[in-house]
Amino acid sequence: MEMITVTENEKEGVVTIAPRKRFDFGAHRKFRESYKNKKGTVSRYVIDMKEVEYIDSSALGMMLLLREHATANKGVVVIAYCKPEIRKILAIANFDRLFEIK
Amino acid sequence: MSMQLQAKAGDNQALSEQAPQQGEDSKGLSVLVVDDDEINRAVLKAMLQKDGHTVHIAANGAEAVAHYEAEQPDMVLMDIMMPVMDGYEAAQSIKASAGLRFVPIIFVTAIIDDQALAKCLAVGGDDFITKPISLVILRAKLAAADRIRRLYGALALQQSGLSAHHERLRYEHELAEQVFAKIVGNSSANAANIRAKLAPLAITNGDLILVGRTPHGRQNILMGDCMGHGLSAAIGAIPVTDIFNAMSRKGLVVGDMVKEMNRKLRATLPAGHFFAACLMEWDPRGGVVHIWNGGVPDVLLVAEGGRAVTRIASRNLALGVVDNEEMDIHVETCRVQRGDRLYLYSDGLVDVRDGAGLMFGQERLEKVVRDNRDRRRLFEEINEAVESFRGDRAQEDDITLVEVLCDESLLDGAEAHGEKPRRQPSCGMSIKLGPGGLGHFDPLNLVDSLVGGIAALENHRTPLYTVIAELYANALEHGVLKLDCALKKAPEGFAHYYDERERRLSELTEGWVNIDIEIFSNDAGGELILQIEDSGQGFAAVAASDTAQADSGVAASGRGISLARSLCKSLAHDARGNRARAVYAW
Repeated sequence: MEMITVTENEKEGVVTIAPRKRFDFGAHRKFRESYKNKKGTVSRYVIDMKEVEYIDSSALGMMLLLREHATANKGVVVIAYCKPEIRKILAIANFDRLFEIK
Repeated sequence: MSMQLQAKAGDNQALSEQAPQQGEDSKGLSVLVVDDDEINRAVLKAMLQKDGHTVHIAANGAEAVAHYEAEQPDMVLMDIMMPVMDGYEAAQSIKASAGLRFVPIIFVTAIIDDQALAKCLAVGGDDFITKPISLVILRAKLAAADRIRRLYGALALQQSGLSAHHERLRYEHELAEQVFAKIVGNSSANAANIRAKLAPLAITNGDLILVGRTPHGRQNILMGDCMGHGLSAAIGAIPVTDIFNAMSRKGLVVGDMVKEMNRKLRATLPAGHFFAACLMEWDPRGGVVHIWNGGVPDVLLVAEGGRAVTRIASRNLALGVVDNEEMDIHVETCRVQRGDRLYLYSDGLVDVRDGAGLMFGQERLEKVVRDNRDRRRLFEEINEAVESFRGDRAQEDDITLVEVLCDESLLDGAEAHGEKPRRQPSCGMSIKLGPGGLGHFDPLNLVDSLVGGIAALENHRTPLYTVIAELYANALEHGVLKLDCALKKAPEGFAHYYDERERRLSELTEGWVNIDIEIFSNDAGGELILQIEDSGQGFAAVAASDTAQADSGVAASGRGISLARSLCKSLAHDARGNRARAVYAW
């Protein structure tokens, strides 16, 4: 099973990255491919967390790397649809200050 | 004095007729006859011997005293006017030497003036008979004196029996107190946050105050009325104290403790005896108290700020009244904040009466609380109000008042207490991973098996996974595989880091990670203690730099430990840095 699903809306310049139940270093290759070597302009990355139940610091690291990449290309990263427990972990990691979380 | 004793013919007649009946009461007495006249002595002796009495003879008071000492007669017939020592003096001396023994002394005298007769009684004589002696009267007076003597003897016997019985009771009471002191003494109210008005060892009043700590840093308090004193109080107090201590140590909840105490008391207490009590558990971390009130007056919860007073009324039967099957257990849970105070007290406090017989009552007690301006003084103010209300009236009932101050800082270190070796985990597991297992270990499987064992952890899957995954990753990647976390900082480095992780894992021939988990839990919550140790050289320096980077909030790596720490109650590494200990609480 894929560790992650990536969908792209080229017209609107939105890439949606949806990790599965478990978001950890096992997803890092696919996660990175979702934004590296993109031909068109991506203005908005949405990390769809609705399936995620387990997360570790490598996932946080991946999201931070994505943010660096997006910021350098004048894009934004939105973390969306978090479960409350995941939301809490992101808050503890101070991600509110770095990402739009909705 | 010498005067002929004249026996009348009629008296003799009567004597022979009545002797059998009269003799029933006073046969076989030992009588001391004191007279300086030989004929008088002989006549009296003959009369008495005829009635079956044993007769001793004394010719004056001094002889009488000596004979009394030697013969210990049942009765004395005493002339008054005699040489050497007169009858008055001899009577006084004999009475004094008889002590508690009752020896009737009947004066035999020719003097009939009131003063002399009154003196006979005043010096200790019991009766007098005037000469010439009527045998009927003599016999009747002898019989009457003998009845009193026997009655006195019976009373004295009962008295000594009673005092022996009393001695034994006192001994048993002291025994009970010693037993009680030994059992209760260790768990008396010696916590710094508790003030109690009665000495907890005062078994004589039957009131009991117990304080204990649970492994999770909670405090249990029991205030009860043992019903009865001495042994009967100890009978109830001993099992209650034992159960209280044992179950506090195990960290069992109030409801379970109540059930166990009730079961035991039903089995041990005599019918009609019961134990009114209030059992309370204060959970400083959760900020709640659980109160079971079985037959004691309303517990008062007094908030630190504001005037709010919450009453926790008795909604339960006292312990030992009905069997567990018939017993509904109502435990009230109240939120408490630091500085809040709880007051537990016995009937005796509200039942105190003033000079006019009026009771102090709940109303007055609560008025004291309402009028209080400084919570630190409230305990004294209640005591003072009760004392001044009572005034000079004697205290009728025992008064017990307990104040529990919800201030965790007054408890001896909750953490240290929890780490004492006697603490027994509810469950635990130990995993040892060698080179072959390190690549395959999955923190999620561990979380699943923990949740499978402890249902309360279901809602904690997410943070628990993060904590375990982080600590394991640290042990494996930095401890065993010796990966440098600086690698992860660059975008390419991140991938490189995990490639390197895979490579080193597949080539691993030595190294290990041990995971130890202990869980302490009860209905109200619990703690999971996770210890992870690795074979590495220690990552203290790495851990330190983790914190610094995480604080900056932007580093792509090294935030694992601080994230785990934030999710735990505590997380610490040993000095070397290859052993982490995390406490996760719920």
